[in-house]
Amino acid sequence: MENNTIAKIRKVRIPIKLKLIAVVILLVASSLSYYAYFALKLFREDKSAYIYETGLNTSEAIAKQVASFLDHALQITDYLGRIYANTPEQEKMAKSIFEANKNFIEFSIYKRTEVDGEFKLIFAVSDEISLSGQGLPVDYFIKYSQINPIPFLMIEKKRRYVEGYNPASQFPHLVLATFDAEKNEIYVARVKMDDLADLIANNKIYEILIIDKSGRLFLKKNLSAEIPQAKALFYNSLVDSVDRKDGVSNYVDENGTTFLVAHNQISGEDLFVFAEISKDRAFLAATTLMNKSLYFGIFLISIAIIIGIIFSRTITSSIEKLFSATSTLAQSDFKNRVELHSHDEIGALSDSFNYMADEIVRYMGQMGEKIRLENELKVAKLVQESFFPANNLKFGKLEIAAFYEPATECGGDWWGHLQINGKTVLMIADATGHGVPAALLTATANCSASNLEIMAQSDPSLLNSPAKMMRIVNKAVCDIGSQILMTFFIAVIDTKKNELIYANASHNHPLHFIPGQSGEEISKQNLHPLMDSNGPRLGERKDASYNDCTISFCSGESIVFFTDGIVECTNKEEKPWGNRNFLKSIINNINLESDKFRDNVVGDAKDFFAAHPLDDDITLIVTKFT
Amino acid sequence: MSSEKLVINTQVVGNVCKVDFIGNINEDADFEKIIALKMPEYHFNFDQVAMINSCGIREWISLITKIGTQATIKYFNCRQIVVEQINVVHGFITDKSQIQTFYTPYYCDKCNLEKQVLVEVKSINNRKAPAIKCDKCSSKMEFDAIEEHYFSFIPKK
Repeated sequence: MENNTIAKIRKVRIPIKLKLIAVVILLVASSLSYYAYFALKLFREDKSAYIYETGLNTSEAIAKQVASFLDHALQITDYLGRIYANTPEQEKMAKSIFEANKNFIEFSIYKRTEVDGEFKLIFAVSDEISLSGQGLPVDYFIKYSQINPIPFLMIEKKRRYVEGYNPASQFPHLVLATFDAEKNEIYVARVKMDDLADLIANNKIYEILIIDKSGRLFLKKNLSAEIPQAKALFYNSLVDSVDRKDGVSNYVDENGTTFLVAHNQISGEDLFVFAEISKDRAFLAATTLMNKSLYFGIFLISIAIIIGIIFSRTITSSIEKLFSATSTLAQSDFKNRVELHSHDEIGALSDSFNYMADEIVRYMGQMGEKIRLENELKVAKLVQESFFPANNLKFGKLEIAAFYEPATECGGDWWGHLQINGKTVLMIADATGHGVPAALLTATANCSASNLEIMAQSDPSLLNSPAKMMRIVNKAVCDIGSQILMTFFIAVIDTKKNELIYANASHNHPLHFIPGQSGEEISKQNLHPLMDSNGPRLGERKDASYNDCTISFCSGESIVFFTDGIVECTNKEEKPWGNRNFLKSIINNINLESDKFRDNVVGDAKDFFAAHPLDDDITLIVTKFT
Repeated sequence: MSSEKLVINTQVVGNVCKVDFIGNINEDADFEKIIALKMPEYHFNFDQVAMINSCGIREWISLITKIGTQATIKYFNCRQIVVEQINVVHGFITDKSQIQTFYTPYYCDKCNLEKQVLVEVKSINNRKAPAIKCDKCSSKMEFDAIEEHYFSFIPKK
């Protein structure tokens, strides 16, 4: 039967190559993203803490330094005031101390008058060099004070006073003042802002700002630049709301820029140091790290893609080769083999494929040989079938009904007959085993029968001695020289004399049925095996001797010739039909016509075997004497 | 009873070799072990023989041909299949062979029971099967073969 089906091979929608690349990318990208997210988050949090702490530390450090500066300057101011007005020598000393303190630009003393209780300037000294360096007169500050009066009442109240940058001054300076309650004098020093300005300016990271509690600017880096109003308000609000001496806050300006602002109160003063830094600048390192991580991540993903492409190609090219090979194999090209050098499952699969292809070629060869042998067997079967006579025969009073079925294409059973001089020579044989070797021996038996016919025609006395015939056939079988032996039974039936002469070469004893009295039940007692003659099987030895035995028969009697196959063949339960069933079937059908008798016995046997294949050849010959 | 390849167990007691055959006597049966012993007397026990086919018979006759002329062979516990071969196959036993004990087949039609009864040859008279009763229904069991055929190996008294 031809195979008309067409291979239904599905279309490849998503190639394995693509899947592999996608897997690799997904794996790398997700791993990197996951790691980057958590690592950078952790880094940013840590950085935030650091920045906040650094801001606080910076503002605190500056606050301390400013406090120290102011304390020192106020101490000198107070000391100058206390010694300056007493004696000419002390005045001289005070001047030298004034001059020694390069920060001091001017020092003045104001005394409360008894007349109106106002503070009047009673003494002043200034740093002429510094003033002239700025292009200012020596009495600049005297005149400046008239425009920007000194808050005497506040100084008297607070005992010490500090004032920061005033844009009205042409010489930026700090005002420090102390009050001597005993003398009712106020000592005012105007101090250069340089040191503090350097302190603030030296901090490159933070923008330092010092303002007082009223929100007035004390000092900052770039004095000329105005503080934006919003920022000023923010700082004011901080100063107002501060109930802690230090802290960190966020401020967002009008451009949306966020600043981190750390503040610290200067000890002993109503002054606050603010250290501010833009958040972007503060987290510049983290941002840089994120960006670099992003670029590196993209780089890694690109590498992953390249690796994925290369890797997938090594796998898929092997698979494509295998696919191509299976396609050519399906088109009956059995020479194609797959050459793969990988030492993985795909490499093993290619070996499997090659082995499969080799096995297919070998199997096809075997099948071809098998078909050839089967064809030869069919021919052999046809040839062997020609060795057998018709199944239903009648020679005068003798009826013969036979049945033969080989277990395979060719069998080892044989039966035949000769009609010579009114006598019937009936022969039945069973070669050892079955199949072709045994079948070849039946050819010898058939050939021998033909020879016997010729010999008997020229020597009719041969018909009187089946034993002699047996020896002739034995010689023929022995001359073959094979190890296959054959049982053989020859009966010469003379229906005129009602006589049967037989010789046996170890064949199953035929059963002679002799009916009993009329009406008597037929039983095994009516069956008499022809067992008085026996000799070795044909082929055993050349000098085997056989003997003749004669029986007489009457009308109504039958003789059943058979080979052991009918008794020994089994059903699917591996149980043989057996002697009992065979004898019972014979007894049940013995009175029927020979052909019906044969058919029924064979039918009973086949019913027992059911569909189970025959284990041995079956031959059954029923002879009836009518 | 074993139905596998023939196993041959031998035991030499004095001048007698006791041989137990177990399994199938077929083309694979190898009797060299027995032949090599070259004993004057053999006792063959067929109690555990499951099957004997035509190729096995050929091997058997070869064995008997080699030892049967010199040795006395006694057959014990011959199964039905062995008895049938003794009766049919020329040369299965020799003139010096003696069947001692063998199984006789019986069948109860009522109970559908089979029975194999071990008997001594000398207990058989005139080639008639002894009467046996069914173990289940106690009715007389039918001898499950043709008497004159089954006992044909026993010489007539």
